[in-house]
Amino acid sequence: MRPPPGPTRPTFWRSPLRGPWLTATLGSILLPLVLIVAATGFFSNAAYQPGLGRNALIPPGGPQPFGFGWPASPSWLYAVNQGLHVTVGIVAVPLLLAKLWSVAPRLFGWPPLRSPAHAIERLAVLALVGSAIFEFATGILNVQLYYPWHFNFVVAHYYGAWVFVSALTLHVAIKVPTIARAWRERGALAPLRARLEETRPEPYEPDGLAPPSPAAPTISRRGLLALVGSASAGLLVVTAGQSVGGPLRRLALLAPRGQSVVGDGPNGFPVNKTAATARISPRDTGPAWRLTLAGAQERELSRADLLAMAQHEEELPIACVEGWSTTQRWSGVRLRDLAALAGVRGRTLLRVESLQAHGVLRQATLGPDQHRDERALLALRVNGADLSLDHGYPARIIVPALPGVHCTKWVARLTWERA
Amino acid sequence: MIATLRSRYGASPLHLVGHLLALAIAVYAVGKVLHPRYSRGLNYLVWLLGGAVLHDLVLAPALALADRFVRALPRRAVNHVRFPAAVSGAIFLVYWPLILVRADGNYVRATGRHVEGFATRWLLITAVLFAASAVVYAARAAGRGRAARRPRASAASQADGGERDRS
Repeated sequence: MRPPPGPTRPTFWRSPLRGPWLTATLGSILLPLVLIVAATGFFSNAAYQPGLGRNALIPPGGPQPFGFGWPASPSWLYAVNQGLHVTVGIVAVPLLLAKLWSVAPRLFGWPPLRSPAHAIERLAVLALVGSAIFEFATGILNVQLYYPWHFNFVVAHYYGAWVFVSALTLHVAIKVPTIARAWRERGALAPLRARLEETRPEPYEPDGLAPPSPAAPTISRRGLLALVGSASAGLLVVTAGQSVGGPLRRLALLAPRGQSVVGDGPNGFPVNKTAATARISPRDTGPAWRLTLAGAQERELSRADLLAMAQHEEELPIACVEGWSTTQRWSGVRLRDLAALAGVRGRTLLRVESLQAHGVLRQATLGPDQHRDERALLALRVNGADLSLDHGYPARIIVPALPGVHCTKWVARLTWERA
Repeated sequence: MIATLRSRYGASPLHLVGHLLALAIAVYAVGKVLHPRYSRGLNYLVWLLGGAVLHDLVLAPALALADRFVRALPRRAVNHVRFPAAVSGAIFLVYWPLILVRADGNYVRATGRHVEGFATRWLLITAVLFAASAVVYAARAAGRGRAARRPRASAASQADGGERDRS
């Protein structure tokens, strides 16, 4: 049956660059990037240690891949993990678009369903493309704090990755022979050597990607890769500084947290939640503030009591799930010293509760590897000054490699529990 | 029996098993999110599939149409428009919620600051990219002008290369 006029006819598609080699090459560049994004995403879920206390943000039960204990060393682990997750994800966007452009004729292939196998394959491709765009879109909007939807971002983004990873695994398994054939016939890199004048279309095959009647090329294949690469490089430059820091932070011109610092001085680095948002008033944090330690015995400490204890200084990064991070010089009391003061021995969990009255992240439970690390602090000061109210005054948790939202601010109570 | 399946189904049994497995995982995962505690079902499903539809029927055709206008330019100018447009466009596609200030309230609650300056910085980046591309274009045009006045060795060697590739 002859297809109706329009994109269902092979002659509609004219680009002389489309063909199996181009799609194989774009896909092979995109694949390692999405694998990094997927792996770091699952690692981030592990870093929240959803098995402990009320840490889980996703529904409990069911199989959870990568549910391992999260280490406290190296201290930059979570910063690098989230920097990669967000930055590589953003950098992959132009490649994803180019990859989808290269296979556009497939979407309109005629007849739409040739066999049961073709039908189920199209369903799997819909799951792949739908979940890919869903994951990219929700992640990118989330880091800009924009939530124009009615679902739980964490749950939907996490399970969207399940759909994406399973559909992607299947897709790669099916396409490996196609990629191998394209590279065997054209050479893996040979088409990149052709300048514009030397650029020839890939040979037409029925139901293939190469067009039956190609137009004259306006860009070479390496030119197209350079075009996509430039767009990715542009995104890298305006984004990476929020995670890498240093002089690059000034270049992070569009990153949500590139330029978002309130004031200079010792407390001049980004926050993820202001005291006003958490409804912390200066009255709660004034001289009447007491820290409750609940271990073998219960004790109450004032800020002066804490300052009278041995003070330790650590240079540690604080890293947000949204990708930005910053390394500061924190000082305060070791969490293990507080455990000793409360008469706690052995491997325990530590539940930290904030003055903040509401919100799922007003409390967090730390595993033994986290709170018994010698760099794990209840910080009272940063860069030689008292913490500002927005940074968690009178006291906050700072633990190496721990997700930023688990470094609880405005700490009110520490409870050691049996592991 | 396998031959019957292959002819009725249109591919190997392994193809069928692989697809059923992947789709089963997808249905399980989507089912987890569809719990009323975590989503308003229809809104979630629209988002899950709407992105693909929006891309295939709106974004991709719009980009193809825009490129058609660019191709109408003089041949040598085409890629000098495509490059800055691709970089600027990619930045806009990712960061439009900040550029168009879509979530100032959330941003203030998180950072203590308003969404400021993103649109200006994006416009500046765009202007710099197009200006740089125009400078390169002008320099190349000037170079071609000089080469045209002295047609010699370099043009001849280029013709040789072209001949070799066609053979």
